[in-house]
Amino acid sequence: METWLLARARAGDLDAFARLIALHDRASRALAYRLLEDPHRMDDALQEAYLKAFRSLHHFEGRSGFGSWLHRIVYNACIDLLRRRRGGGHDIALEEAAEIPDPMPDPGEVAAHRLDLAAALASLPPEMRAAVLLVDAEGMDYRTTADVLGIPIGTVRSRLNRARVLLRRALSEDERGRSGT
Amino acid sequence: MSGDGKHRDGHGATERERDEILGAALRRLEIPEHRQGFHTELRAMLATDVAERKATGVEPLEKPRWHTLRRGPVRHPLRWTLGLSAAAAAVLAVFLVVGDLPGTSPQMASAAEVRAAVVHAWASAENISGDLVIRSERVFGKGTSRWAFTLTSRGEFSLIALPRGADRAYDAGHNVERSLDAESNPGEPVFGNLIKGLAPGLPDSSPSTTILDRSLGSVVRALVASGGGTVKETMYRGRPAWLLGTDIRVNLSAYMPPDHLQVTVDRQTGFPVRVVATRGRTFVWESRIEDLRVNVRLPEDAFRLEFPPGMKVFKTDAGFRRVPLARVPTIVGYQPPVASWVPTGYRLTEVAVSRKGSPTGSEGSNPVTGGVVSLSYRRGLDQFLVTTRLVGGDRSAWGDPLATGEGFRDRPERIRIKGGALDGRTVRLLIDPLAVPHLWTMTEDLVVTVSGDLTRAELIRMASSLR
Repeated sequence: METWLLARARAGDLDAFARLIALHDRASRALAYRLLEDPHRMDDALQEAYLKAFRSLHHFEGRSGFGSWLHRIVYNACIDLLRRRRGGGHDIALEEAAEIPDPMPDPGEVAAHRLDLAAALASLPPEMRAAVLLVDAEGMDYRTTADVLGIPIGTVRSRLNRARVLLRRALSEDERGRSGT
Repeated sequence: MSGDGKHRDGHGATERERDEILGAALRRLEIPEHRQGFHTELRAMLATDVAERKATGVEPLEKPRWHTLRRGPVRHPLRWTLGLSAAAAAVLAVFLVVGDLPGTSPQMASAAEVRAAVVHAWASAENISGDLVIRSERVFGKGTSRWAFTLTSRGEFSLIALPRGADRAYDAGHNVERSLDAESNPGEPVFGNLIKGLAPGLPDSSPSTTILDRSLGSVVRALVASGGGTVKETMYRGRPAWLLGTDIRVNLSAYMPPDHLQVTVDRQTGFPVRVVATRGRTFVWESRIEDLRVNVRLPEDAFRLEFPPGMKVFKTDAGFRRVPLARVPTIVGYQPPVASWVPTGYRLTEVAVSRKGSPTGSEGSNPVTGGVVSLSYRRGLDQFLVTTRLVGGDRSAWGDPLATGEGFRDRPERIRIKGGALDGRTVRLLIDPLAVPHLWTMTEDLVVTVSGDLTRAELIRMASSLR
């Protein structure tokens, strides 16, 4: 089905493209919303990403799944939006971004004081958020996640480990809070 | 997922199990649905992209389906200023709405084609001219009026009354508007007016586009505010056209506001060429463009209206001056909020300031407080403005700076803005068939307006983006 829709979309069939992205829209919304934390920005990023995807369909060679290819475009659109929101700083490559210390407060300190998983997730740097969402929520393997995020597998692993520690802590405190212990 | 997955925590769960628990918890987190109109907007963006690719010959998709559209060379973006711009946006928006209706998928491609045609028209034209004919029973006075008009991408316009008498022209290069006043004797102008120092747009003293705006601009904005409608293919004056019929919300007016519009869009050029307004199937008024010409060569003095020798000419200075944005604070004493987001294609084209200010609001009843900054953004024919002015000593004296007045009654919507310089402020937003879409509010020191060819969502987002 996806292959057929892809072929139709490449031929300029907008209905087919709409159905194609609908297959991955929930996951895209999840990623974009958790990265941007604003439904309007989520929609803006997704419109931009879907338009880019449409423009680039003839470059998609099928070496990865369409979903992961689309996720990469969505992720990049979100990161671009975040960078613009942070004050219009100069553009840097995603690979370089992974090496730059994030100006946000220590996520551990923030998470330790919040009982809510969503809040703890929001306290993580976006790059770390994306890793845990793709792997743990969407079930992507490390290789695909590395491709989507444009980083080495080792970086995926390290971001994931750190994110999981913080989120598990938030999750357990959340449950403890609900159970009244 | 990581490690051997066998390590157990204090509760006996393996690392893998804990990953799965975390994953399940993450999947349970709320994910918002798309905003209303998301798919319509996206579809329009995609259709435009297809049309532009075909127009420019860049990376064409295989077997594009947009074969019915006229294609021409894409020229530089327009910088038009008149209310006709709303016509494009509104017609476009209406067709988008049509495209969003359930069960109309066979029409969606057609609606997208119409949108692409309109977008292409506005994005490639450098000027438009023709005869504007208005036939009215009540709103514009009973009878038929006719003007020869020209609009350009520089914001210039001319309206030559036929027969001659009440002519008007705006020279954007010198920011001067000249007009002949025929008083009650059409055909015999008795004095002239020259106004310089105009603001780039509402709510301040700006080029007089009332006739064009009322006859076409406000109509199509009404279409934007309405929803649904039907699209038919037809012929208009021997040319293929689209015919859109749609109900519109009725303004609480003392006049006879229409409740239904029928708009004809020329398929070859994408321009709306005829509007018929009715109320309960009764004719109210009609406006149409005859002898439409696009991108014709214009004489150098096309917008310089000459006063007859010996005619008394009244000269006025509206007090606005174009300045670089960086100079604004030194002139008005504050840093004006500037949009950090604009809809695709818009750009800041004019910055004007006035130390003394100008009357605003219904019947000009607001305080004239000065320190006015008017930022004009343009996208082809479209224009919107962000203005700020000092509140002054009496906050309670302020009403809507863009109030329509003249018997029209507004029903503004109250919306709390999130983010930016207006964070937490409640704005009054008005999308009405007979008004320029706008919002306004007051901060501690400033009265802020955002108005022009923007949708409700764009107005709100624009207000949230002011920094």
